[in-house]
Amino acid sequence: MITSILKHEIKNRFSHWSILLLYGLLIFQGIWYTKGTFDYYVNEDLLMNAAAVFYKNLAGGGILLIIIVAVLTGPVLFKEIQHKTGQWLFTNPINEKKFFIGRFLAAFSINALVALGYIIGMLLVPYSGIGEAHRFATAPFGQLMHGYFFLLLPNILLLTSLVFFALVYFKKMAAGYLAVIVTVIAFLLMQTTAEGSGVTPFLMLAEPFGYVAVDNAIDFLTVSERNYGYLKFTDYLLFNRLLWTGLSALLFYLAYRKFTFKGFLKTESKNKPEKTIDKASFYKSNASPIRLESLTIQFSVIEYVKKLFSLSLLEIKNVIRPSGFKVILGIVVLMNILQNLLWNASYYIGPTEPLTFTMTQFRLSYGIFIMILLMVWAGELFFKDRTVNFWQIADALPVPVWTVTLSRFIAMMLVAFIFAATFMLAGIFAQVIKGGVSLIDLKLYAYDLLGFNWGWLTYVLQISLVFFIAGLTKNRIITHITSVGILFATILTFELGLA
Amino acid sequence: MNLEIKNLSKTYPNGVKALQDVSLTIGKGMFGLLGQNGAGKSTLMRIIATLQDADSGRITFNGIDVLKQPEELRKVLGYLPQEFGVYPNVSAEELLLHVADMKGLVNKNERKEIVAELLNRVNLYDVRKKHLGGYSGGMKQRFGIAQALMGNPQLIIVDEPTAGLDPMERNRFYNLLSEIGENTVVILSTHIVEDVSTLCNDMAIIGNGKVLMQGKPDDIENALQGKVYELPIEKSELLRYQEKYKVISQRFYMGRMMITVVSDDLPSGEFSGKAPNLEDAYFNLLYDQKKVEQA
Repeated sequence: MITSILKHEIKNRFSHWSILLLYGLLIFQGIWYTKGTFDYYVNEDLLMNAAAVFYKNLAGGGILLIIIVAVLTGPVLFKEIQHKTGQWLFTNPINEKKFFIGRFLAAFSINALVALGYIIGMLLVPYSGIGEAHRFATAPFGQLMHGYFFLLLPNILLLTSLVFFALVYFKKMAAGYLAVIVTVIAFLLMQTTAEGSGVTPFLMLAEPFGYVAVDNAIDFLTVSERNYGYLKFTDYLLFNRLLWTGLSALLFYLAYRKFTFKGFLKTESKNKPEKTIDKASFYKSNASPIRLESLTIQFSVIEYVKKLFSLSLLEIKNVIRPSGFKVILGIVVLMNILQNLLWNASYYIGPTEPLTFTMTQFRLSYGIFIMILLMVWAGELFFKDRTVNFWQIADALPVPVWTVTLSRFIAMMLVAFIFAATFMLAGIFAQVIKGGVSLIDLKLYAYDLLGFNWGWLTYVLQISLVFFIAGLTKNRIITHITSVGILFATILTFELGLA
Repeated sequence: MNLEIKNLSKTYPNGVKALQDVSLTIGKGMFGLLGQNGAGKSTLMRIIATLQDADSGRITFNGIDVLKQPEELRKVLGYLPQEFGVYPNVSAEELLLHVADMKGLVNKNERKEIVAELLNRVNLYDVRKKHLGGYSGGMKQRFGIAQALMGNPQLIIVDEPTAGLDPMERNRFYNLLSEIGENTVVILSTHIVEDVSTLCNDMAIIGNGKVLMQGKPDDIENALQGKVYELPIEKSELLRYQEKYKVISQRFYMGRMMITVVSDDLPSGEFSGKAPNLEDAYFNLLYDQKKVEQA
């Protein structure tokens, strides 16, 4: 049964055209990250396709791979709830534990196979035209595979286990995404802390992807070892791998033990039971006619313009009400405050004043994440009627398309403003805490956080891009991929000096 | 106030002829559209509701050319699709207020009043503040009914509206619809024959994209007066009777198969006469259509 499930799921995933797109994205990431990692060591006579560069790439995983793993993993198990297929599928004579193992192995295998695109990207770097010929030697294929098996695969195992654990315990797709986001945030926090404040044994062990420990191990290698050597998995690096692989196994075991067909399909109802209809009042209320004739109904351009703002309010609620939004905003605010209170101070040598300039740097260091979040939300809002299958009702309403679309655009502008405003409040909070009230420069805050240099106006431009692409493609997934792809392409061309 | 559909045709890109030269005149009151699954009812509903284009033909409602002026029809339309979703993170009250706003109700107090009234009428008032994501299937259906009745619609289209409703809610909805139907055009699309026979003063039967019959339910029933017979048989005998008689339907009654036959004269002494109902007329039409297609 396990083999049958495994084969079916892999065949199902790899027979869809989108898999080529994922490989394309990961090949792109392999080239992009190699360039970024190499630039870190640019003055150290390192080859661009050095083994050390690849080990670091593989430990970090990369934002695209992590997003892809998060997106691919959940549906392998959750589709039975999402499409309500579990209602009949689970009535078949299937062993539920074998079913769970089969689906877990399928998700892990799919992720592992898709991740090979990242390796291919790294192998293609010499042919990408981003470096001179003397920067390359024969590709360290053995080292790449070594890193793939001991860094990337354990990290994929961790993410897969996390998503399955979250799905089994919370029965919500959002829980799976949230588990990945929290892990990535923990990784970023520890990696940034290690860069800013120095590597500690705690960071080398507690950072989930082994990146800090790999970085630290590479620091002690000679240039030749960095170019051609195999990384030794000893000391903290070994302990890190054992710790997190062990935790992955524990998460898997807990999810495996908890998973049952009945439990997975059971939805907890916290709702109060519906009120029983009182028959007397029922017939009484039915006897009175609905007062419809005296309603004031108007249709005019002025009314449509007025509606823009009232409609925007409902659209904003659609974005900000889900708990996912609140958690993400909370995490972003927390990171912002921590950066302003802790890391900014340690980034420069010697004591630093809590200047407004340093407080607004957050928008640059984490700008890409904020931008991706806003772009995805914008795409989701644009296609919301289709996603929730409300379009037949919405499209039959007497409001022009421009009113609805513009109200959604306004809503997203306001959501972006919420982010910009929280950065400002977090910055001011940090300045006050650090005794820098006199250094608060509201004009600079407004210029940096609301302006076009990765501030609110940049967010608005990216949201406009999403709406434009959505209007052209009329397809949610293509809109997400195209708009985020354009963002990455813009950043890459800038980093490669092409723009 | 009437809806005129003339020579409407629609063929999908895969070659399926969903509507073939459909012509109907629908006046004030409840109009039932009866047909099997895949007969073309939903396509017709969606075209009238301005959600889909027709290949040819014309639809007018009170001087509005529906195919050319969809935005004008939407101002007087109430539509409940067969399948629909809701925004999970807003409450029924919020979404209905939003729909009211979209339907041109400019006065805020009036919006609140009508929303409260409709929520009360569909028995959702007590759960009006609850997010729609937590609603059961029946509650969502009742929400759909409320939004369709919002804003004084003159043309109401309801496509399989009672799916998921318990008998009491079904009665409640039909009472509501009948009351509104006194002054508006209401099109009820369904495959439940009983709903049409009890509620509608006019109806059409549609099959394979064609209008097979239009008229009053009583007239359609009476057309078969004295021509419907039934007989309990053994299941194994069905084929023999089908070859010999026009067996329009069969059902089980107290463990035996009961066949219904249409014939101008008494088929044989073993049969007994039966008062025709709308279901018999419906099955008779489908039988005739099948025979024509086979020929």
